This record gives sequence, C-alpha cells and structure tokens, in this order.
Amino acid sequence: MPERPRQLHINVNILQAGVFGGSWRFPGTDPLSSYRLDHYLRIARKAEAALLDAVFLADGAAIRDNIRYRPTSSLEPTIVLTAIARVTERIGLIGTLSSSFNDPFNVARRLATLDQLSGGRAGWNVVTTADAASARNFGLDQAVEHGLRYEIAAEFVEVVRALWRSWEPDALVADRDRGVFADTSKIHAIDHRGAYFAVAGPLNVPRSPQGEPVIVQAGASNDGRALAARIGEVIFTAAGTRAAAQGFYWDVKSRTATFGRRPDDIVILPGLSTVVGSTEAEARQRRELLSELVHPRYAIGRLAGQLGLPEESLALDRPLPFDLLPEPEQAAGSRTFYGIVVETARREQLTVRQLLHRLGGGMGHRIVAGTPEQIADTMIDWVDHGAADGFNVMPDVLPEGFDDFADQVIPELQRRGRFRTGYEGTTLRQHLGLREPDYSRPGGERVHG
Amino acid sequence: MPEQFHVNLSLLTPGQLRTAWRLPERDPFAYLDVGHFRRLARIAEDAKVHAVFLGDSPAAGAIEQAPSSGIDPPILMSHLAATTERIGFVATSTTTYNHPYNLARRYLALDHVSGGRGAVNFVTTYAPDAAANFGWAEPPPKEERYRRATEFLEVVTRLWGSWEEGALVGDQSSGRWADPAKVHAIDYHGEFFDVRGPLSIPPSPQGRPVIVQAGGSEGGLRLAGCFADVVFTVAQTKAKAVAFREDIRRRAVAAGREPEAVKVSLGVVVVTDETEAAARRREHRLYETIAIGSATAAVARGLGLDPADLGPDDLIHRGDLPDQPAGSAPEGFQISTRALLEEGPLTPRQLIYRSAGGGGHRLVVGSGRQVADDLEDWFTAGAADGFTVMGADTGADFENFARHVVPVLQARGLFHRDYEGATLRENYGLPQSGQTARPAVSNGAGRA
Repeated sequence: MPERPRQLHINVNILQAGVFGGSWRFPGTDPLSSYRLDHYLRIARKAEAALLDAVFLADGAAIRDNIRYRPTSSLEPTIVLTAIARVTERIGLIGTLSSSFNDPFNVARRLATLDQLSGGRAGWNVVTTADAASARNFGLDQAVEHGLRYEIAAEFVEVVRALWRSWEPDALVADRDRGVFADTSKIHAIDHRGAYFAVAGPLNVPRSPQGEPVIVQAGASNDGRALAARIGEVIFTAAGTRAAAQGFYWDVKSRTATFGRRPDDIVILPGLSTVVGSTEAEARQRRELLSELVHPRYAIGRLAGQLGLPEESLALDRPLPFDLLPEPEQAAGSRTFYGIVVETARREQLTVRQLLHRLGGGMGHRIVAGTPEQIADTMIDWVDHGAADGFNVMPDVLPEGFDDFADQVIPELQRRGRFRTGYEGTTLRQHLGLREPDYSRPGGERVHG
Repeated sequence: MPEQFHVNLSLLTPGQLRTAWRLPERDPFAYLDVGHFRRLARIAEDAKVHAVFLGDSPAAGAIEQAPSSGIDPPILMSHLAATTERIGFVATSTTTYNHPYNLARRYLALDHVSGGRGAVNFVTTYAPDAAANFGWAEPPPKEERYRRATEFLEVVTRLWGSWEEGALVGDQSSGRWADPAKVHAIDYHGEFFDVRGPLSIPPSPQGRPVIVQAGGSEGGLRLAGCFADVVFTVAQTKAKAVAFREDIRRRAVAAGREPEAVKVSLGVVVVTDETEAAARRREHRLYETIAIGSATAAVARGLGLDPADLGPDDLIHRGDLPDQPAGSAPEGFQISTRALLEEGPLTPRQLIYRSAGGGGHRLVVGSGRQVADDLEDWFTAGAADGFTVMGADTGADFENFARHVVPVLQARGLFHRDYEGATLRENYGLPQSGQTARPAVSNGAGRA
C-alpha cells in the first residue's frame, strides 16, 4: 500500500466579519455580526460539517483598533466557545487567553471546564499580550518588557499544566457504603512557589477525555520560539513567503530536542487569509473590492501604529521611510508582524499605497486569492515543502467567504487525498494527531515512553 | 407589593445536602456532567422559572465525603444559554481573586451570547483554600475584601457604562463602524485598581448583566444598597426576613435609588414530592446519608465553637456563642442561625436536619401544595420579592419543584405563566438599564 499522503490540519479563525479592514462593509455582510451568537454558531457548524480541526477565537483585553473604521476584539473566547460546544460534537475549540492579565488557577479551571463540557475539544492559545491599551486596563502604563512577559508566560503555563494534572484519573471513587466520595490520596496539591506565582492547588475539575487542553502558542521572536519548542503543541505563525515559513518550521521543530520532545509533538499552522473565486479573475476582483472597502485613513493609521511611526511620515506614493523605522524592540505591537511588513516592503520595493493594498487592512498574514484549485495547490505546496503542517485559515468575509472555502477548497483537498473525509477521533488532540500527556509522573513533566 | 414573585432554581449538585450522592438512584458524578445541567435548564425553562443559579468557590474544597465546587459557573451558563431562549443565568464569581476588567468583559459577553439573560452574583470568598490558589497565605480580612469588592463593582459598572447609546453605528456605505466620541475611558484610580477603559464590548440587549449580591455582613449590605439588582439572603424566621427586606429597600433609597430597583430573593431549601408522605420519606432517607460527626463539626466551626466540645445531640444555647459572628464563616448564615437559637436551644442534629445539611437556609418539606402555601405565606408577609429555591437533593427536588409546586403557584396567580420579556431584567421586573449609585464609602478616588 502506498503511504497515505500527508494530511493537512485546518482551523478557521472567526475574526469578526472577516480578516480585512473592509470585510464588514462587503455586500451582504452583517456589520455587527461579531456581537451575535448565531454568527459564531453558524460558522462553527459549517466548520464541523467541513471536518476542520478547530475553530479559533483570538482575543485582547482592550479596544486595540480604530473602531471608527472597523470592528475590534469582541466577545471573550471561552464564553463563545462553550456556547459553540453546545451545538457541535467533534470540532476543536481554541481560544486565546492572556498569561499576563489572568491568574493561572482561573485560567486552568475555565479551560478544564471547557474541555469537560466539550468532551475533550479545548485548546488554549497562550499569548503574552504586547499592547499598551490592554496593559492600561490592568494598572500598568505599558506592557511588561518582552523577555519578562515570556518568562512569566513559561511559569504560568507550568502552573496551569500542574493543576490540570493534579487529579489522578481514578481519584473519584463514590463508595456509597463507606460514604467516601473521593480518594484524596489521588488528588494532589501542587504547592507551586515560583518567581511569579504561588498556587497551592489542587484544581477542582478532573481530567478531561483528552487528558488536558491542547497548548497553542504564537510568537516568532527568539523568546517566542523557545517557549513554543518547550510547551507548544500547536504553533500559530505568520509568514509571507514559503522560504520564511520553512525557516521558522525547521527552527522550531529542531529546537524540540532541547526539551526532550519530538518534532511531531508540534503542529505548525501559519495564518492564511483566503479569497476564493470561481475563476482567478473573480477572486482578484473580490480582492480589489475588499481593498477599496478599507478606509485609507484607517489603513495608514494602522500601518503607522504597527511600525511605531508618526502617520505624517507615510506618503502614499513613496516607499516606507526605512531610515525612520524604530528598532523592532521599540515598535509598539507584535514583532512578528513588524518583521513581515518591513521585510515585504523592502524586498518588493513597494510604495506605501502598494503595501497597504498588499496588507488589505488585514492582520499581516499571507493572503491568497484564487480558485479553489489554486488555493489547494499552494496549501499542499507549503506542506510538502516543510513550511507548514496545515493552516489557520482567516476567511476574507464571514460567514460567506468561509462557506466558499468549506464548500470548494475542502472538497478539492479531499479529492487529492490531503484532507480527512470523516473525523477519526472525538477530541482535538486526536484530530491533530497529538499524543495525550504521559501521566506516569503525576503533576510532573511529560515523559516519553 | 406586586402580586407575583420570582423563582430561581439552584443547579447545585448533588444538592444543598451534599451527601445526597449516596442515594442509590443518583449519579454521584452528576456535578461534573454537562448532560445533567442541560436537562435541568430545560426543565426550568419549561416551568418558566426566572433563572438558574450556581454558587461557587475557586478551590477544590473538602471532597472526601461529597462533591464540592466543580466546573466554572459562567462557562457552564454560557453553554446552557446556547440552546435556551428565555431563562436567565446567575453565575457566581469572586471579587477577591479576579480582576474587574476581566469579569466585566466575561459577563457582558455572557449577556450578549444569551441575548440579555446574564447575571453575576458577586461574592468575596472567605474560604482559606481559595486564598492559597492565588498567592495568599490566608484570605484578606473581611473588611478589606469588602473594600476591594466596592471598588471592583464601581469599576465593573463604569466599564459596562463606557459605551453611550448610539456609539455603535455599523454604517456600511459611509464606512463608519462606531463613533469613538461616544466610547469613553473611565480612568479609574483607586486603592486596589487602576483601570483606563473603555470596555471592548458595547452594552448588551439588557444593557448590562443583572448584579446579584449575597453577603449578609454590613459591608455586603452597603454594597447591595448601592449596586445590587437582586440580593440573595438567608433567614430562618419570617420576622428577620421582613426586617431584612425593609432594610435593603431603605439602603437603596438612601443611595438615591427606587426601592423597587432592588429585589430580595430569599433562599429556601426544598424537599418536595407528589404527597407529603413521599416527601417525608425522601427527607428521612436523605438524613441517613449524612455523616453526623463531620456535619456537627462543620456546624461548630460555622458558629465559632470548638468542634471537639460539641456532640450531635448537645444543646446549643444562644449564650454559648461568641459575642460576634466568627470571621471564618459567612455572616448571613451565622446571623440566621443565631436568630433561630434566640427562640430556644437546638442541637447540631436539629440544626442540620432543619436546613438539610446545616447550610443555614430554611428547609421546607411537603407536597407541592404545602410548599406553595409556605412560599405564599412568606411572600404576602413581605419577607421577599421571590425565592431562590435549592433542592436538598437536586436530582429529585429540582424537577419536583417544577412539576408539583410551580403549577400550584400559577393557579393561585402568584407565579407568571409565561416570561414577560426576552431579557432577565424584564422578567425580574427591574428598571430597564439597571440603576446603580456611587457607594457612600467611596473615598472619591477615581472619579472621571
């Protein structure tokens, strides 16, 4: 028998009305959909019918965009994901929760609850939250310094995992005759005392059907990659070119050995903004329309903010003022996107106008516009060339653009034998081909058999 | 006085009597089983119950003999909201071990997801094992917890008010999604919190979630007068309940609110069945599940007595108790038990049986008609605006209340036959946007 070709892993990122700055203005779109539960339920049901690995909800703890021009971060992910869990049976549920503005006990419990209620479908995207607006809602003037945020995040995750492992599987005995409900010798305090957290434990939620939620991590900086290799099971990343994606993929996978892990303990999923058309021309037209729907004032303001430049320094028909650019460390937001934007502008010698068009008021992730065949081609190409294990798909317009992706791109991938034609498991861990944690040492680190 | 009262049903499983899991017909693990809670929500909504409620403490608790706190309440409630239409959801969260921006956002999200049916019961959590999960060697003193809670609610309510009406535009043709001039920072600076704001979510279909408050101490009552839409309370005697309700209404008026803007919801534990005899049989079977030794020790600790000195059948006189309620247990419970002992001495066993396990709430046992009689009597006496009903044995009493008590109440015109509106605020009969006042205890810090 020939070996089964590599299967893709695909999530849909439900970003308000779509990934672009003008998505909410696209004809037929509900501009306020991000506050309506039905929006999320409809997309999640469609994603489950299309056999996707998971739905993903990003998050931030502040208004982080210019709401004059577009929707911003919206409903808190765990609240929406638990509602989605009510109307779905198989699809994974990944949400972003900040390690900088939460307590590990609360996060461990909320995610363990989501994992219980969904039958083992939860995933946690650990973010350190770089923006000052969020920090100001938690008593700080600006975000904690980058390296320290990652140090805190590493300890945060360690505590959360120890809490998830604080119950042995057979801790609940319910012996009616003796009146013994729990064997407390199998429920362990964690007594964590670290540099940033002191947590006694144990948790009050037992292990889930998948053992514990899947840990997702993003962040391309050196600190981010190190954390990814140490604790990440799924890595969200942003890469504009296949070569850049290959570099990241190889780097993170080869770092796993340092932490006693294997390359396939990690599933790497670059973001991919999709614009599907029945012909290439139609897709390009759609892409044009979406660019036109982005208010130019917004686009310039956002780019200036991302790069840490004053708005006046950007002229539409001139190149980026490279000499004015701050060091990446000084830029306000995510270093990953700073790097991609600057690199793209430099490599392709783009004017600001061209660069804005390229970004589309989107998140800086790679945009692919084309027919279902073309989109399937490029997805497979990346996976076959060691650039990705699959994709975190950010449709151009929601729900409609995702309907097209689910109805046209997914069947194309299936025809080529690259995507499942039925769920093989019931948990997110199973969909992703990830192993359950090894619990041979209760409360301890994962041990390989 | 309005002619009808509200009813909330508690989801607490296995029930107010925590050892009810030992009954052979119960699933001992139901407290972790989402299917169980889905079923209860369905039953409650079919019976037009105003809201389901779940208490909480963020710690594993003592689980050797019975389930303690388990899954996270707001996560459970949002799950149940997805497939219900009208029933409200009252989840409990602590102000001592959370940050106001996070809870403001999470509960407003629940309120959006449920279409305006969310409520948050703010508690300050005295449990020492909870403190240890958040870096504290012991819980902050009660006075500090309430100072923090007061600031917490001030921040939360300001965040919920940070978007003016009309801030959300969503005009596709002009490209104006929102009007930033109508979305305001709160710039709060207090003793415990510095919060810039605004919140990242606009108001919900009912404006903001309903605020519930449950603490019976002076700090809790002050908080309730300023912020609460609904006050949960515990009373073993009608006179105490009437006095409490009058006190709360006075406090609301003193804070510049309408007396009708605060609803008092009296806790009552129920064992009910088709007949009184059947209810009594169940009551006695439930008592057999109690480990009397540890329940007696819990009563002793709750009243500030030494467990080593107290047997299950020793009489406790009012004079045996310390002058002030013990700092280690909820004050509402202690006040209600003290009031009971003023009428005569009781043994721990009597106290435990009387409140189905010793939780302090009044126990009512009987047929649907008898339970309805009791609630009618207390309601007409002015003891409450409604009841938060806790099954002694939730696995039976939740459904029994819906089947045997609710129809009697409806036939008497004491309980609505259908929901008045789409939001919890409408169904409770609360003012539309919610009404809160600045707390008198505020030192003025953080005024915008």
